[in-house]
Amino acid sequence: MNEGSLGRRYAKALLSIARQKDCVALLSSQLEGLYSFFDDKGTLVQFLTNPALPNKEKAKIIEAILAKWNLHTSISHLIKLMFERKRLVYFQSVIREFQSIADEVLNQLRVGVVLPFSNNQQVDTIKNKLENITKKKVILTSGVDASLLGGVLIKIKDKLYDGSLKAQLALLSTNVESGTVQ
Amino acid sequence: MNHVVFIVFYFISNNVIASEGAAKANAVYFSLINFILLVVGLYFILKKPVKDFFKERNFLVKKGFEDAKQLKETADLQIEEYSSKIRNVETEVSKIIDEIRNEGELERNKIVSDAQKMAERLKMDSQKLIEQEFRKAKEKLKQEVIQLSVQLASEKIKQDMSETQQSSIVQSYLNKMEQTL
Repeated sequence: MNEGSLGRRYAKALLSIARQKDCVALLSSQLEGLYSFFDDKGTLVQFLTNPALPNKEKAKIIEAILAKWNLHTSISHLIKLMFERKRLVYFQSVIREFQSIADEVLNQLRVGVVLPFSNNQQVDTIKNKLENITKKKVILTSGVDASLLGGVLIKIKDKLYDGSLKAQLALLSTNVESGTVQ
Repeated sequence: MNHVVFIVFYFISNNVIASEGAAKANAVYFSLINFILLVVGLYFILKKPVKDFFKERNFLVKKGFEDAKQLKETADLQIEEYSSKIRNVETEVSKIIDEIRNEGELERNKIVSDAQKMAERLKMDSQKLIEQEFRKAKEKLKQEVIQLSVQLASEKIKQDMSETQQSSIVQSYLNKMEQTL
């Protein structure tokens, strides 16, 4: 079984529980916070999947983390279960799949926006406009890249919408080079 | 066999005659008879081998003459041939010179023709190379111009881009997105 389908199975089970307990948004936000913590190349996952270390020690670490983060019981149970089945290395995949399904359930859209310079007002404008266009709640993460020169770079799921002047200049130079534009 | 009988008879008769001794007076006659007998005996013994010898000798001499005659004829023919060749040597020499001259002429023409073809080919290759290099240089120059233009445009945009212009560009792009989404 590959990582994607395994993650989807756990994510669907977790979402089913979350919907029963009406806490999809809470789980979504808690899992978002855990994402970088469970990086499969990170120290924690490397430690928990190391066969040379005793399981008792690993279990203690898990307990400590769960206590510190004050996570929802569904998430705690899921982490323990995946640890016991030695599948914690796929936890990030579970989070990704859960977020994807939960976003559909919660009618929300994750969008990444990059501007050539920081401008909160413009970020808000973009967010409002995208909410109007998609009729979904937009969860927006913004960044700055001066090399864009002007315009905006928007990432929705796997699609990239490049409205930057850098891209337009690159397109223009390609067209001139190929002879499309003289 | 006859020869052996004759020799035995000859020696016996000789001894008998000698032992009698009484006929010493007739010794001359006996010697003469003895000689005649020897001659007759020798004639019978040597007749055939001598005849054969001379016959063979005669044949060999004849054959020698014939061979010599044939050799002479061959030599005469060769002399005639060489004499003829010597008589035609000037014509032959002139013919050979002409042939050599013609061959030389042909070879010269071939060399000239090959050289002309090679020169033509070199000229065409050079022309192609020049055109290729020209195209390359043109392309390179074009790319440099484009890169420089993009660089200048980027710097100009960085300097002159205002918030209003940025907002306008973003708004325009969002409107475009609204149509596609």
